[in-house]
Amino acid sequence: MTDDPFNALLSDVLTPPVRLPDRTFVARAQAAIAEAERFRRWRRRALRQIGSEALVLTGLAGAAITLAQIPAIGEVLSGAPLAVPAAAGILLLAWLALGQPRGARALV
Amino acid sequence: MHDEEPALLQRAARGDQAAFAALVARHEARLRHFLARIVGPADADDLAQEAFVKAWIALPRYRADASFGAWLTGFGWRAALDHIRRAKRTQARDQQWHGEADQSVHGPGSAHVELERALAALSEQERAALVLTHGHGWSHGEAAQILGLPLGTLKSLAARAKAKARAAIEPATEEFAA
Repeated sequence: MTDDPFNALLSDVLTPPVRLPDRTFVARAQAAIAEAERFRRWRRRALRQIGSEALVLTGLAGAAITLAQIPAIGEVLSGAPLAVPAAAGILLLAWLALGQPRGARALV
Repeated sequence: MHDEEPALLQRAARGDQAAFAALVARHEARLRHFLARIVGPADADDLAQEAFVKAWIALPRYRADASFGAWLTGFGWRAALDHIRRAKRTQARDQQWHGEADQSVHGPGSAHVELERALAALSEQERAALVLTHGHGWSHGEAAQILGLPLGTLKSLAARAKAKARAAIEPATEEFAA
């Protein structure tokens, strides 16, 4: 037996057919790529936003701790035990009011 | 046909999705055929799409030391391996498809049908080595790069796959009998 007929058979069975591009598949792949690109952009924006908001919150917390250590302010705070939770609440509300619309835009 | 490819690759690497769509159009037939041979036609299109998306994301890291076709087929191969690991049932479906599809074209007992059966009985790696080197015309070096294997391993894999396929069809067909 020579190898030639077997090689020819292998080639016949395994060679991809020559045809025009499948436009439906190309469109599907293009849509999947556009979707992947949108997701990448959203993730990048979301990570950047989380990072910047974490920085802002750290800054605010640091400032609050520093202020609380000033003796005069410390005396006022010890005289009004609800002042700290109230200030934290106001900060949180301000953050939600200002930060949420920006976050919602980032998710679109 | 592929003379425009470097320009398309450059544009696509800069984020031009239309240029990448042109690359998809050039390579989809070959990649889908390869994947259909490995996992069966039912899953080949999804895996090909996955490979194109991964190639798009990785495109800025593409270096022209391998042809784009080989680089892309590597993504397809890895997607197929992940798929096979996730669902071993694929092989049974693949074998079933080979049996059904090709009997309808060539009739039972023909050399084509026997070869399809023999190919279905090979491991995915053996089948991939055979398809790439004997069907798609990749050199052994390129096929080794696609499958992520050392050149020597690829060569022995392809030779073993070919020997197995020939041994499997010899008793069934007169044409290939010794």
